[in-house]
Amino acid sequence: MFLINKLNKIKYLISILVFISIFPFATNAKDQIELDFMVFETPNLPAEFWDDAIARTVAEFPEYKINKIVPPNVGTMGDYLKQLQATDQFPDVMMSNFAVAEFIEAGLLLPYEDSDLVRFVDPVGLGLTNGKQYALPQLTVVESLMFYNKDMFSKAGISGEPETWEQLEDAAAKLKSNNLTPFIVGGAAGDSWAAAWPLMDLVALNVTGKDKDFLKNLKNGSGDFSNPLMEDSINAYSDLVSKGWTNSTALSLNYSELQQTFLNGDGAMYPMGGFFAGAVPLDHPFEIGVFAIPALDGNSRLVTYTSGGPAVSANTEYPEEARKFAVEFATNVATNADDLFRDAHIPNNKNFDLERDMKGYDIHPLIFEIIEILQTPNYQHVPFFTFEVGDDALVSGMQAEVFANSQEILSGKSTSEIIENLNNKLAELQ
Amino acid sequence: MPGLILFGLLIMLPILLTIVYSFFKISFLTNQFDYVGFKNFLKLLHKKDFYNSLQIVLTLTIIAVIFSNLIGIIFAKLFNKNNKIFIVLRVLIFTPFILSPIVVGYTFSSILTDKGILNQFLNFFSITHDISWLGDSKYALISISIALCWQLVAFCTVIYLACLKNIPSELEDAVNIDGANNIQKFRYLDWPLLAPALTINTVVILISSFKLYDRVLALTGGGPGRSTETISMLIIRTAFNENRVGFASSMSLILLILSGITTFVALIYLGKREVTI
Repeated sequence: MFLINKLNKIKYLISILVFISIFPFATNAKDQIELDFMVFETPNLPAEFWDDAIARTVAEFPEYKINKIVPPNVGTMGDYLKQLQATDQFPDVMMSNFAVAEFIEAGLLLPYEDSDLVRFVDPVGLGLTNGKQYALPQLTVVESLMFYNKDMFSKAGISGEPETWEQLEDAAAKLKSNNLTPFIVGGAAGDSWAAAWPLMDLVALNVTGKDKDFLKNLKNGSGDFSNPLMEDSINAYSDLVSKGWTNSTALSLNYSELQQTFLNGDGAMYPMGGFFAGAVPLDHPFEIGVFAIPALDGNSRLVTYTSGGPAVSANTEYPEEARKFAVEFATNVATNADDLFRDAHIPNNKNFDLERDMKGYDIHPLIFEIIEILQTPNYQHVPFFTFEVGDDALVSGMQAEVFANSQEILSGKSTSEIIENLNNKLAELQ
Repeated sequence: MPGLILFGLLIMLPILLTIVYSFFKISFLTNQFDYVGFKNFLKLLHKKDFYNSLQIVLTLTIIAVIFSNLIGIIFAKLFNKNNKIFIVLRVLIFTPFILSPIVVGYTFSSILTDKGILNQFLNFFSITHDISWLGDSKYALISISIALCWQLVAFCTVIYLACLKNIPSELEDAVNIDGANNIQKFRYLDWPLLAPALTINTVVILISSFKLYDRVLALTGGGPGRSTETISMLIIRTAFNENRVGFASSMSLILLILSGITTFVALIYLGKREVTI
């Protein structure tokens, strides 16, 4: 009898527990849309930026609950996503600040509908895959920029901004003869992507931006990296190192230290994406200028990246809602303004008006200079090497090899060794 | 029985899965799972990166075995006193070993960066120009071995100290009566009796060095280039960056076999030296 009573009590207790545990889900399933959203944090875009941006987007949609996920390092975002996929934790929505092509090929991303893209000035951006857009073209970053220290340029007697590669080398030689370090480059450990920046620009300007079949040939196995254009691009980077024009600290600086090294006035020029402008304080002790990195053949090309907005998982429980959240997030004017102010990300939003929406922000003049460069009519815009999508995407897995080999260039490895490394990896991955 | 189930689930199952995976072409991105037989192992024979990582791991292992044991013995001899200060020191010396390797990695990276404590110290005494301890491939491996040894020395010292404490005082008295000097005392009394400690330490160092990952990740990320990429790092890169889980599993299996053989040989060889009192 005692045992029956005890069992009954346990039965009631279990029933209560089951009811309590099911009840919130029953109500949640109806009312709340919970999405895992992967963002990335950098010195320019800290946690506060993302929290504010998410709060703005969900302000009008109280049914959304957003769980923010941050990868350990912005340069390893793609790798982190692969680990999450392997452990069934792929986020519902993710900022597409990584090589998205392999995720599209694997069928992990949801294509956007045409109606999702009407708010964007350029709805194509980096490109389409089978006619579909998989990552919202939220912003444009001008990638092939050279920031320079105006004081050092005048001290070395350099009157104008270099317009050709030869003029850039002449300027570097003048700076060196004045005991100034011409270039600040680098990227250590997890920030090897920063070390690869000049190479990605040089390859985009002089190889992939010039030979439209280069990447296609790599993909279908009819070509490799042993290409005169590729050799010239690698040589151009390694020459800067071999001539002693780069900082000796290149491979021991992480990204924020690299940025700070230039801001400290330890070198005259700094090849980086437009987002660097967001890190320059208005009252910075010396004046900084910016020009587009010239192509080796003298043609006017500009490496741009129009993408970077949210991508949606093909396996999300809430595909419609996730797409809606993504579009709202990418086209929120206040978020666009904050992003432009902090990281010089130029909004690709039809509803964004520079004068109207940037009122109240003390924008650094460099950002306006970058917008001017972007709007210069004679530039051919070419996609950023290793970040391409669709048929023009680089073979999956090659990006990390490009990053590592850029560090090898800074270590003094020869162009032939770099090309051999890239070819070996390409053969392995094909 | 529960112990056997836990052992099976937590130890044997992952090893068996690694063995099975190494015969397949697997991608977690596309859920591809194709049987390829011994193809992964054949590919491994021609993989330059694997030999490079193997060489790095072997270099680090040799450095760690020699220096951690050597410094461990010196510290143990120095601290083998019954003074209160040495009792405190004996506790403190173990502290590095209880720290997380990633914490040790980041701590050392703040010491070894170009503007780090070490270069500032060297510059203060005008000893040398700035050396890029982590950014120059000539020094990066040495820097990693210093961080590795720093942590392993703590473990070695404690094991050697425990062993020294077990040497019967009668034997020490006998050696003293025979008029042996310190070197002779160490050569004929301590060294043979420290053999079990040497075996334990060497085996622990071998296992730690073969699977080295976190300290290197924090210090150099495997760079510059691939100059400090250990096998564990190569495995992670192959599996998750290149989506070649099967190929990475074949590397894991080879690593397991290599570390197993090395540890077994060390146990047999060093075990022969052990004497019982």
